[in-house]
Amino acid sequence: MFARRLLTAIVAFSLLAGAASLQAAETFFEQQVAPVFAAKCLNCHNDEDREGGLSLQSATAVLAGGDSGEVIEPHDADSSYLIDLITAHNGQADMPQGDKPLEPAQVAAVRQWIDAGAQWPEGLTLEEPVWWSLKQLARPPLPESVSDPAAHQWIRNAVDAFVLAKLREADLQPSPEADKATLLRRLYFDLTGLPPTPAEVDAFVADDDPEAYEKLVDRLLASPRYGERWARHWLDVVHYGETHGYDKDKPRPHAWPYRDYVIRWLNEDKRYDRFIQEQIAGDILFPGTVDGIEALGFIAAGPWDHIGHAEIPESKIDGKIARHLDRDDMVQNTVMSFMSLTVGCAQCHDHKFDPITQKDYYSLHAVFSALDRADRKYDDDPAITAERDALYERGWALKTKIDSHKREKMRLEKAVAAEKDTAKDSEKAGPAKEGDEDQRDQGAAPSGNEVEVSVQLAEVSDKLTADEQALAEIRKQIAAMPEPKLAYIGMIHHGYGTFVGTGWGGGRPRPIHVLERGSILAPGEKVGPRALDCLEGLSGALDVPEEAPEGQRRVALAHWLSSRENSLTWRSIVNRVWQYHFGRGIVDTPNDFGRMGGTPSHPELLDYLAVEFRDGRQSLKDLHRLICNSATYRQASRTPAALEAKAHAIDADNRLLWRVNRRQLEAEAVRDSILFVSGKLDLKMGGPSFQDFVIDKPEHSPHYEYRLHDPEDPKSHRRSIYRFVVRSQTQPFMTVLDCADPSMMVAKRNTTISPLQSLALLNNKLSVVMARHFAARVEATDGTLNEQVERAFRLALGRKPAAEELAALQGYAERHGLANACRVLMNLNEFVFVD
Amino acid sequence: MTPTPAQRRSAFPHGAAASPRPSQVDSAAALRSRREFLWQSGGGLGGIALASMLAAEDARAASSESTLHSAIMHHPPKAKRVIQLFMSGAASHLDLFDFKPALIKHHGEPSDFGEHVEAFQNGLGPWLRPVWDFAPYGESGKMISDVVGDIGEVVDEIAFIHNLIGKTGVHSQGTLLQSTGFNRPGFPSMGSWVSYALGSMNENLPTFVVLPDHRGLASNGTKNWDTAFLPSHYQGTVVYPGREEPIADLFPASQGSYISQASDAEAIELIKTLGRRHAEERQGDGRLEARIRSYELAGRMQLAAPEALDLSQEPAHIHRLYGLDHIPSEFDTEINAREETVLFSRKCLVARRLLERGVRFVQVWSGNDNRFPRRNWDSHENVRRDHGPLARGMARGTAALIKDLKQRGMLEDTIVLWTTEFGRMPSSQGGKGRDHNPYTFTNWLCGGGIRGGITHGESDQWGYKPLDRSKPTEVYDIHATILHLLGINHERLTVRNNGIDRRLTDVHGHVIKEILA
Repeated sequence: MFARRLLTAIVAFSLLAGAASLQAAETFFEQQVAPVFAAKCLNCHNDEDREGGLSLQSATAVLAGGDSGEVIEPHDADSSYLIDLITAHNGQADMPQGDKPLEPAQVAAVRQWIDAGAQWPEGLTLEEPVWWSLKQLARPPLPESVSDPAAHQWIRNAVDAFVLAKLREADLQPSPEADKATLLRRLYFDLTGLPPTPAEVDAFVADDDPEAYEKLVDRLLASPRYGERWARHWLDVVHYGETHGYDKDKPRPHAWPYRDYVIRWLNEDKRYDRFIQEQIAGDILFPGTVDGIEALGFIAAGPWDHIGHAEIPESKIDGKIARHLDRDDMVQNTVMSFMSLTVGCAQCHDHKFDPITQKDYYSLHAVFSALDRADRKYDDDPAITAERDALYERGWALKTKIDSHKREKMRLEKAVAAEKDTAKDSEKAGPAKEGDEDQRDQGAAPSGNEVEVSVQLAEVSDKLTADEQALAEIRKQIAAMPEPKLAYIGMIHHGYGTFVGTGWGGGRPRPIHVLERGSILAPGEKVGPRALDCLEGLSGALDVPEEAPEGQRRVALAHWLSSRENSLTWRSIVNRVWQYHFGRGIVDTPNDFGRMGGTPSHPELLDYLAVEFRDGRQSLKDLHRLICNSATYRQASRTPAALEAKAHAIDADNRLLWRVNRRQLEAEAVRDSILFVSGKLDLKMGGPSFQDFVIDKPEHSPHYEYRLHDPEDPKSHRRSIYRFVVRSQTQPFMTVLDCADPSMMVAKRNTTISPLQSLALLNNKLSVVMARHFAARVEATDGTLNEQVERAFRLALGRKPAAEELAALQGYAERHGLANACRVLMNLNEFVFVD
Repeated sequence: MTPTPAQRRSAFPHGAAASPRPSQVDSAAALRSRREFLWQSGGGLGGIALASMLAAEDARAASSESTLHSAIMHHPPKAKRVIQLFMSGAASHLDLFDFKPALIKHHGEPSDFGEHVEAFQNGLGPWLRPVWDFAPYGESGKMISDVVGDIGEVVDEIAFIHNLIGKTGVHSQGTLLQSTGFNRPGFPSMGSWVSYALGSMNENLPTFVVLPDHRGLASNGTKNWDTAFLPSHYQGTVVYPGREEPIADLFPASQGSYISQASDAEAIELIKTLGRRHAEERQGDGRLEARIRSYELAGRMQLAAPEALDLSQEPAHIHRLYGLDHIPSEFDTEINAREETVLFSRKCLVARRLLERGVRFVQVWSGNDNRFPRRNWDSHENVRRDHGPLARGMARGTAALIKDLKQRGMLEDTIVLWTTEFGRMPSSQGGKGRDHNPYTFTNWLCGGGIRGGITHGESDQWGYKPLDRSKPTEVYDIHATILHLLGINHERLTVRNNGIDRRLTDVHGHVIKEILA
């Protein structure tokens, strides 16, 4: 296949014995120039791609130049076109295209090399280095530099060894540990998305068990609230929504089983490879399990164009485009969620920056091309599911036969009629002769053909009747079964009308072609299922025979994604988890580990975590423990002034983690906290989502009217993870608080601050109503107003107020009532920021 | 608080039909009145004092424009503001702006496109002549339809583009393509890009405002003014002129009977005071100070927004210009041109007031709700019945807006874009209707740096495809041109998301030099 070069060896050459100066020049090239060419130019300018006709792989190629002629004039850098191209003017250079200009030192090195005669070691062929994320995983050794006593004292686990090594390299040191109350609040929000109660604060602060912290981590990880909190992160990534999006944006009432599956998976702490396998091919790999069905909600998580699928047949261009976009969504969701790679670019052309070809991209389409998004019937008891599935299979087979009988019957009926007409015609046509009577008799009798056809017709009619009776019987049996559950998943669809699916064709995958410039009107080469070939040490071959059932394609991809050798899979997930704990990933572009993405701040740590996770129990909770129990995580977010001043100058972004980042709470955590402190949060788990809107005009294009919802409706007082997520009309309060947009895969939410946000927190009906409940809750406790204000403060912020804070709030409460004071508490910076 | 007659006066004096008054004063009504008072306090009682205060603010805001936001600008701009008029449902170029005599000549004959045509609902009946007569207008003599005849008065300001092409005939995809430059969800709208690049000219108001059709949202709903991966405050702020609560959450929800103006004002002060104390212990975190300041700005927006929406400040001749004088107390239940004029013109006038006060980008929607009878431009069944009232109302408001901008000297730096998701077929559907035509349709622009009185890019004799199929105009070109006039190189306004440097114009787009002044 046509792959870009990503070979392991950098150089393979023999040095000419010769003058020392020549040797020096060649060494200079190898050390100073070759790495620049390899890293910055070879992606496009290699022997295969030759963009602009130029390759920089070998001496011959370089000296041959490109479409614009020679690029190097040995001994004369000023006259060399290459220098023109790479020299920046006003911060911009022609080359490398689409990338930052080279460092001045790099340009100077190339100049010096040319001026010195552009010596290229004989036989040397440059190869592009393997991009960091595509390299095989190996467990890095713990840094040695941190074995001294001071370090020994600080380091709690391996995470700290790696972090401290980097800090020391930069001449920095970690911040002191945060106080217990701060750690408690941090852990509560981080692991459960809810604040601690004042009683929990008191108990933890008073607990002198040296392992109190570790026990708290364990306790919170064991809480069902943990799965609810962390499922939201995954649902952001896979762009889960409960309406179709696009035009009409109809509801998906059975999307939620997938959400519950993710929560369950987290709380039960099942293996990560199983998580991948269930979501791609759970129905085949784990038959007879509920998880194996509900997990496939992953494939169906994204938007779906109702009009393009249900109102336009697949035979039309717009219908084909809709299905292409549908598969594109499945492919991108899969590769981005599990591997942090962007493949969408390859829809129209080979990926410009990453080694992903257009053919790779369409080969991934072939994995999903039999599927549609639809409601799957299933049961808590897998035996019943199996029974129902078998009945449906038989029913579908009968239905197919019946349709075929009907067509055959119609054909035969026409044939009989035609035979009759022919007979009549010949009868009319012939002039009356002697013996007419006899002839007429013969003419009236059916011809041989007619008899034969009539017999066939009778046979078909009998078959039709029998099959229809059999189908009716199956329908009766199905109707007699217990009411099934429904889950909206990626599946083989047996549809009627316009949205037919592939079921009636035996679930055969739709043929997939490479589309020129991504146009459905320009199909090129036909492709079969295959994964990506860009990883070091892992072929993209899926080895699924053409005739194998479609599920085998997904099984093969699931195994490929979850294989030990898929280095991206393991780097991706540990980086995501790290990011949710620290606010930023070790790689700051969690959905893009390609060349357009970031590079790891702590590459060894990333690989250590990836290997540890992969080779351990593949337990997310183990990973949380490792991270949360580290000294790194326990640092304060407030830093001693001296350290802060120094660190700001060196690492203002805190990439090296010389403290913990203060976090602005996400929309869900804010909303859940408001309900929690108001005493209104309903912790009922699972099941259909609550709706905090009224659906107006459901018959055509539903209008999701949030403004008509009654905030006092207790059904809507559940945790935000159970909110019905509408795509076209996102919840205004949550949206303004930077909730993830369910139309796009969100690896990292924006965090913004705006007057519209302040207005929402002040004035939205939820805040206004809950502030009153909050006040009522506090008023229900005995005590003076002062004590009530103090209690409200502790509930909201997890600490005792300082005297002047209490005085200010108390004065305000005296003038305007406790509800107003509670509204103020829910608007404070301290309410929405966690140290 | 019992409302006095003066307080009862709506901030939207011509919005009687849209905001009916409760007949009896119950507690909810009292609450509503209290909030209406807040809404009025901008333009009502405190109007004069406030107006002068805001004028000072505006001057300050204008002078410190550069300090508010470091604008991403690549060359000197011709325009500062944009108003996008979006006809939802696919307005017929053939019955409004793109005159096709061949359809009159061959009306009723079987349609023959000379090639296989795929129509969305197979609407390939006989050729259908434009359902209204066309006539020449202005010095340019541009032929436009009687039903949009009002626009004839400003036709010499306008550059028409009749060879715009879409990608599919699906409303959602077509609408997203026009609003975001991509035919699938997940990308920032043009208004968000412009706000992101240029920032605010008046931080007391949102940078990007959306005036939806009161009947509902277009395909894709809020995605058409979404920020996607840009920061959330560049999202369009939805304003419903005439609604009881024109901007969500600007004032406490009606359930907040315990909140008074005094408690509210003091709350903001207390939030700031306690916030400063918290921030002092956490030096060096700019977000904390920014969030304290956002409460201050919120308070200012509470004053500025109602004032901006208060049409009662406009003199009588402006109301007349927009057709907002002598509004009947009740309208027919059937859709009618008079009511459509009031609905659309009101949005145009509000838009002008917002633009005047420094809002960067305003999106105005015409027509929505895909049910029957049609209340949008998706005239599959009957173009005359369903386009008629919408078109007349749109034309009146649009013409008034352009004239009004011009007389204020604002047209020269305000771009007006008229758009829709695609056009309609020259063949008939069911006799009187037209099917979708994504193969060619019309956009027009005027104002800020646009050459008026011209037509660029013809469609073929039927208005079926571009006359020169090798050189169509694409939405990317429209977007590139608008960004260019705003001082932005569309290829350089990029934000990296999930590994790709995203642009409004994807990987396409050419500035349409022919329509630049």
